[in-house]
Amino acid sequence: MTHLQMSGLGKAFGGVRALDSFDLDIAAGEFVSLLGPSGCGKTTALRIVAGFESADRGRVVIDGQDVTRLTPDRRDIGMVFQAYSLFPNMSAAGNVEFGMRLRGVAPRRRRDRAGELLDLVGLAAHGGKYPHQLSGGQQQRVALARALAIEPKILLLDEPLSALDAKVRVNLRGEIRRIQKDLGITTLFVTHDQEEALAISDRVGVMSEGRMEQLDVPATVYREPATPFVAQFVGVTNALLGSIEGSHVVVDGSRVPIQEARSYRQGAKVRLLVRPEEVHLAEADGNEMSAHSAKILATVLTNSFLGPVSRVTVRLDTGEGQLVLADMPSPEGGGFAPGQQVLVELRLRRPMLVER
Amino acid sequence: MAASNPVKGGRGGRRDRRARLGPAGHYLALAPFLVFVSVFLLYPTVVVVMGAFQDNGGHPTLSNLRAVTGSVYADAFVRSIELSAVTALVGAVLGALLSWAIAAAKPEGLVRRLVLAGCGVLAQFGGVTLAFAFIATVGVTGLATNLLRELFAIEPPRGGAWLFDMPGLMVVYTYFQIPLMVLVFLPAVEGLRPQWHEAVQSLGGSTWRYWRHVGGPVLSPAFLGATLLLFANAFSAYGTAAALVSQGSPIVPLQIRAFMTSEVITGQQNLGKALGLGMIVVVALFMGLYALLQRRTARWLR
Ligand SMILES: Nc1ncnc2c1ncn2[C@@H]1O[C@H](COP(=O)(O)OP(=O)(O)O)[C@@H](O)[C@H]1O
Ligand SMILES: [Mg+2]
Repeated sequence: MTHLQMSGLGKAFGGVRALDSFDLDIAAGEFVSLLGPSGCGKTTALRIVAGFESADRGRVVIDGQDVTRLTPDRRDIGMVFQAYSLFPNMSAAGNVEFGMRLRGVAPRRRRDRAGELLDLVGLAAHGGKYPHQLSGGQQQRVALARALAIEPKILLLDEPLSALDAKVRVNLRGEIRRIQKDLGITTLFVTHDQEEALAISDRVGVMSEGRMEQLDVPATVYREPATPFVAQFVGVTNALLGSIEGSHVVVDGSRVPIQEARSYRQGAKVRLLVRPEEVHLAEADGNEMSAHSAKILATVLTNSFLGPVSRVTVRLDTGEGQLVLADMPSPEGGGFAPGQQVLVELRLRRPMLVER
Repeated sequence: MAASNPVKGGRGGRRDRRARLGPAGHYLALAPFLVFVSVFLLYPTVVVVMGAFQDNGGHPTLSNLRAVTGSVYADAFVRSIELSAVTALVGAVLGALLSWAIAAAKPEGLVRRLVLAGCGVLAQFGGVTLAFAFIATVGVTGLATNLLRELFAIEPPRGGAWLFDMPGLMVVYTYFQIPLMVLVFLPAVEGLRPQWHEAVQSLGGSTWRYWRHVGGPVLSPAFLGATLLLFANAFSAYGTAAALVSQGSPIVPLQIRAFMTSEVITGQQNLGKALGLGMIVVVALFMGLYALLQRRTARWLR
């Protein structure tokens, strides 16, 4: 069981800052995902840990040993790439055996171990096949087995599922997690798919422009985003246009009381970040309007059934006609039909404002 | 072919028209190619093969073949094969190294674009023009020869006449073999994925291990194929040798020229055809050898 520390990592390519004072501490046996939009530096962080890229600043420490200057072949790190990384001239078993071959493991022992690993990833019957005879999902399974074959201290995966079909992707991520737990291997997993990150990680690190925005367990990252960036990147979020008026944000004529509004300048233009589950819809009967100023009149556009909730899209009747998504619990939510007038109420748990 | 497709009123779209061609239509589309191959490849081959087994009166005989397996002609074959093999190997190795350097250069860089454009031109640069370029540079009174003489008092071998014999042919042939190698081999080098090298490294292997176990084996079928192409390219080349060598006929294509144009040896065109047959046999042998090697090196491709 291995402890991985990255501290103060910095890396620039020409003028582009790929990583900027990047810190990440992964406990032994922990599964951490790096999540962020394309180009935010996830791959760079991973490649610095693997040793394929050298950091301009900062250190990588594995189990107390500083490996920052060590070449990749001396780090004992298993790496799974995005796609097409299997050696095309070797069978699946040959690929899995390769690392052991380099380490001088006896052929017999090598074959047995490769068999076990192929079994572990559910490909026991496919050892003799060459990569081009395997599906994309099977290739990634073999790549995982190959990385694990050297019993690495740390497992790194760089968007290993992004080239696969949705269904295969969901299956395989579950298996990756199962195997990781079985072996108790310290794992860093890179993805731009938030659902993937939230589904399989012990902790998720959300990145933006080379920096760590938030690092926490999935539920906290989702429910209590630390920054507006995280709020907008993770989960579905409404960003309602509004302006500051004292301790209120005015959205299309309706005043929403928000403490934080005080720290903004009067009249400042802001976006109010609201999760669909914080939006409550009620049937409009024409009377309660003026009395409840925090409610906004709107018209239903679409309603889609998502299982536990119905996601209702409404257009605000006043102002610029902004679209708002609302998740209403299923039996009740199913009742809203396109064209119907409703009252939108914001039941904010964690109001978050961004200046625009 | 139209009969297989009952007319559907009002639906005569592009799809229907293509469907109406049917399987026979596909062969029809190949017709121009087949005609071309028949006229310029099959027919001459048949003429050469038949002629090789006939005397001047058209009677069947083996004397032509017996004659061309004699010493003079056999020597020409040996020299031809030597020339082709040496220039193919040297061209393949140097061309492969150049391909590797190009692949490592910046994809949109100027150097790469220049080298590639240069290869495109030089691979086709042959015949009289190429011979002249060499004669004017390193010939008996060539520019470089004269400079060496006057500045350093160095006299080239045989006063520069080496250019007009086998050594000269080897140098000049290599000159167009290297760029041809780059053209046919570069795509294979660019097909090497960087993650293969990185995977080897993360598994604990050196760069040498990568080339030994992955890069080399992956490239070898393409390398073999390209080398064979270079061999055939040199073996069948005529123009450059004809322009360079005016005395004697050291290689087979020049021997054939002698039979076709000589005023001394008349009435022996069929000997030339026997030599042609010999060339066909040599190329066929090399193709067979290639197929065998390919089978062994590229088991994983099937
Ligand atoms: N080898 C490189 N040369 C130049 N720029 C690079 C290189 N690798 C990454 N970058 C740049 O660094 C930034 C971060 O890249 P990367 O780590 O690959 O992001 P991610 O994996 O999150 O998509 C990007 O702006 C990218 O263009
Ligand atoms: Mg990436």
